[in-house]
Amino acid sequence: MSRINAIFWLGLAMTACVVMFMINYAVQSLQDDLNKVRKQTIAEQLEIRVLHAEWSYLTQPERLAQLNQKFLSLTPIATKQLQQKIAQIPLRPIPDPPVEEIAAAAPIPALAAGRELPAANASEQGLDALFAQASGQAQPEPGAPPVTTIALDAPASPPALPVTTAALTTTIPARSASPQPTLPVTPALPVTPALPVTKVALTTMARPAAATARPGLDALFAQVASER
Amino acid sequence: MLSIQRPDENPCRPRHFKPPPCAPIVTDTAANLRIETCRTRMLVAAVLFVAIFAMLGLRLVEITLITGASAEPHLARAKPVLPPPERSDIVDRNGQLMATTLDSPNLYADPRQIIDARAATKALLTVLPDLDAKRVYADLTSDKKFVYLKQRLTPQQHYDVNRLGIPGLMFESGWRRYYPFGSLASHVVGYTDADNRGRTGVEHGLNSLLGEHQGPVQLSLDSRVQFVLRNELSKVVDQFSAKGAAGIIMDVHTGEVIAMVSLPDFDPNHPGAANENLPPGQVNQAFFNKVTLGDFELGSVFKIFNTAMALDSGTATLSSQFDARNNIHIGRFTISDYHGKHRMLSVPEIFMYSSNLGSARMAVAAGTWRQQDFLARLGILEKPANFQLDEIATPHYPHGKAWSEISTMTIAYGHGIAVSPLECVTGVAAIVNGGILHPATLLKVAPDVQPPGVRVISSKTSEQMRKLMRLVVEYGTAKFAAAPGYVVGGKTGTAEKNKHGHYEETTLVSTFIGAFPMTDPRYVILALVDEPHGDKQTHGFATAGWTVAPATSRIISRIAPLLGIAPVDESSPAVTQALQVESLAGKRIEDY
Repeated sequence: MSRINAIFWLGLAMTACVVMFMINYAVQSLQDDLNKVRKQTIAEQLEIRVLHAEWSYLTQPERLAQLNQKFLSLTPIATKQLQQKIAQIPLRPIPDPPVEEIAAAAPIPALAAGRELPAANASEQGLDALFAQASGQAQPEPGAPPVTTIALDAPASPPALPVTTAALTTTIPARSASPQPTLPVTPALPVTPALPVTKVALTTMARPAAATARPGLDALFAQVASER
Repeated sequence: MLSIQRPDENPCRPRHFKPPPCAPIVTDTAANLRIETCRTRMLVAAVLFVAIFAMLGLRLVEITLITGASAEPHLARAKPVLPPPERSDIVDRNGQLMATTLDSPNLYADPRQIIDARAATKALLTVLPDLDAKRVYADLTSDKKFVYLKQRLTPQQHYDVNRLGIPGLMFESGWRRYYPFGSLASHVVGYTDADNRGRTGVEHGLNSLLGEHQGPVQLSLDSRVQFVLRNELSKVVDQFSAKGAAGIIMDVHTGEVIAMVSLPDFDPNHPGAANENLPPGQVNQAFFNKVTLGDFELGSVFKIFNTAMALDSGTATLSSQFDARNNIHIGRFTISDYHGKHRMLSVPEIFMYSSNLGSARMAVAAGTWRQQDFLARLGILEKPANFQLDEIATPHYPHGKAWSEISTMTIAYGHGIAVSPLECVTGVAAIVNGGILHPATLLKVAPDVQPPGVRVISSKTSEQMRKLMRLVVEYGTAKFAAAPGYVVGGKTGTAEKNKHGHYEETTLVSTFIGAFPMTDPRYVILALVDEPHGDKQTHGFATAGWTVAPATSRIISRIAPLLGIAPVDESSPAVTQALQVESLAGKRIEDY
């Protein structure tokens, strides 16, 4: 009995020894790992410091000025470039409308009794909303001439209308000519302050993706094209 | 020893009976005593062991069961990894690094370990081309144990040398200050010595703060504005072959110095290089910070203070007239005007045409004590307290009774008193910002903090001074300082330098001090050029109106967009009415 006892305790002691040493070595290797990670962290931190210094060195104003002189030739902002209000920005001059196309679009003034859009908010409402609005109204009404829907959005300012139609007539043939229409010529956009809504209507057309997505507009364009 | 009766000697016992063996009964007391001592010792040892093991056991229980989770600190103690010896970085108001501490090792060699000195030299020269091949080879073949090959390697060089893999080359770690912006703000930031102790600039002035490991120290400087100021001033120095220049831009509402330039300057990364080509014993001008350490007689710029003093004390109003018809002869001095009008001049005219005669009479009318009191209130007669730089000049002015009537007259137009540009700018900032004097500071003031300030003049005087300063740029001596859209106002000052006791007409200090936008000033700018020489373009003039005023115009046009100041239409009624001098309303203003 006492022998078994002795063997048991001896075994226990030896197991304890082995376990203890194993733990000890495990701890040591963990410590080594930890120290390694610590050293690495410090090395990385130093590297970051170097990078910070380098960034500062490379972005020092003097160097940027030299680079600018070499590659960009940008000049300091002039006073007239710093305008604070929309009203201070001069408008792009309107190109002279081509005369014969105005004549071709003669029936349109009769449709001027359109509904007025909140023109002043055009930029704030977001173009998307306006697209939706434009396309919603662009649903072809049976019997009504298809151009009407676009003209509906135009405010009731008769002298401005010829410009709208001129722009329309220049864009539409381009669209009917090829299935992938080229973007309408930008200078044709009337930028008269009186006409922001017209501009919106045209912008809708200027987006072929938006236009093709809406069968209503497509049908309208096709109709206009076939009429000509 | 006593004879004892042994149990087996009992005569009565049966023959076959043997008593059980037992310890002999020792009757020897000495032996008994010894045994007792042994027993006690064993007991003590046993108790000790039990106690130690119990302690170990308890500790084991404590570590494993009770504080198991927080055993980490004990691990940290195992092998310390030292953090770098840090000195805080210095950054500008936008967080751009202006000074940092980097590990910059020295390269040394143990020649005994070098196998092929020739190949090693060749390889080293490929990565460090500025080494002297002969010297390196001699070093590598010497029989010393330790030779320095190069000090302060850059990280790239460190990497390159390491990649060569030459045995016997070693690195010695060293922490050094780097200034990525080079000489951009050398006088403000300063530099450190080999032991990373600050020698000049903020490095010296805030030495203890930088050693406190509290993150980067943020200066009020804006490196972009600093660049523009330095760039334009160096153009002025080149154009007029001047000895030097100084410039400072200050936020009028906080006293923050946005930019501070003194030319010539130096590269704080190699402060020694500036002294190399100098004859021994000569002090390099490049280390001299003209803005804080320079004492200048700033000339007519002082008319700002003189006029503000007269208006604020009520001894003159904007419509008062002073005699500027004849030169003043007092003692052995003669006071005259540079461009005399030879008539009675009103206060705005005196200021606009920079009349010395009118200013002198205005000061005399106010009296010496008012002048002294006013300048003292503006802090111009003392060193600025608590400024972050230690390179600060003591103002020079006549003390006590030496401040005579003549002094009063000359100080009115900025002669006979020498102050640093920094103090002058601090004073002018107080005059244009509504009358509150904020001490100058190089540390960024948080936007929600109200900087300390004391009222020195009334807001009405401040408004009048703003109008007068605008007048100078519109019609007076500083027309070239106009920066369209930014409503600049200011005052020029051209002073002859006092060399060896007399003024020399050819050595000038030309100063322009301005503020913008004059409708609600946000920044004060001072530009000073030391000994400019007029050229063809300026018709030979080296006065402030021709030298620093145009530079100020360019500086303001360039920095105003950076500082977020929107241009206004200067001819709009809102601006012209706000800056209209009532006493001149409706009159035709004679050009300077």
